[in-house]
Amino acid sequence: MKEIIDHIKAIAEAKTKVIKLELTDDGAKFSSNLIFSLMSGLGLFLITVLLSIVILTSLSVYFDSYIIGSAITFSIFTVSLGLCYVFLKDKIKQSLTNKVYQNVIDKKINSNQKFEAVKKIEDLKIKYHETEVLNKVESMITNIEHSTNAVTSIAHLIKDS
Amino acid sequence: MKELKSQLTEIVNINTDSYKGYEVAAKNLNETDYQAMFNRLAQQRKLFIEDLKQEIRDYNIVVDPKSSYTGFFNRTWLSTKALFSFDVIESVIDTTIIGEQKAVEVYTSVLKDEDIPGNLKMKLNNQLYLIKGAIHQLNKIEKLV
Repeated sequence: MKEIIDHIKAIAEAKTKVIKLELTDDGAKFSSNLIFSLMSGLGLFLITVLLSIVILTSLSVYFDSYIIGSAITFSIFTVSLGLCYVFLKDKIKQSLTNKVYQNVIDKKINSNQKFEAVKKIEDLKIKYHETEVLNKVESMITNIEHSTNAVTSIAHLIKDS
Repeated sequence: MKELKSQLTEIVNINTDSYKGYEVAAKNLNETDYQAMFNRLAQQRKLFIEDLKQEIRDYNIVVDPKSSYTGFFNRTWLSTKALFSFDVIESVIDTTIIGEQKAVEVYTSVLKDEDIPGNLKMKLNNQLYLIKGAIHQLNKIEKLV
């Protein structure tokens, strides 16, 4: 009985693992990535807007002209973007490639783990079935032994009488 | 099939040692360029393991990656050397090259077996080519430093 309960427990655990892996593979990971990208994008956008307002206002007040202020602000942003591209080009490229590479690895790990969990369920089912069949065979053998013993005793009794 | 499973387990284990070794190497270095290189090599070895696991699904084989004792001592030795040595990069590269040469030995001995299925052989050959490439790259860096 304990063996059967252990088997059922192991199968349930393996099935839960498969469900968990499916969830992390599809919905959860996608939504967490999306939320992270949206949050960081929004944060960066707000910082840029605030920074440009501050620079634009101060320059416009300083030069007493909105046109000069806007032109200088625009130049500052273009130059900063250019510098970022020149100095951080390799780093950005590297981190993007790493991310893509890691995603491929994660997907493979997930798919392999799913396969292993499904195989474990199948193995457990086969093992359970095998144990069940073995128990049946053993009980049949015991029954046959009992019957043989009974027949032998009857034969002895008949012989004695 | 049992023979194939043990051979593949050996390959998966040597790759597990490699990726753990590369991770330790990356941690022990301060130069970001070398760190990036070792992290990339660690990722590559992880991908090797998962690729192999995927490939052998058709043969209904499941291997459980385990790090060997040799790998463990190799990594500990690597950290110790990095701690006490002045030429950290050189000593780290030395140790990783030794690990990679061991990997080449394992791959070569498995590839000698003619019973290995064609697809698997191709995959193993590709991985061996990339490992040899890594050794070449490490040797080049060692000469530069």
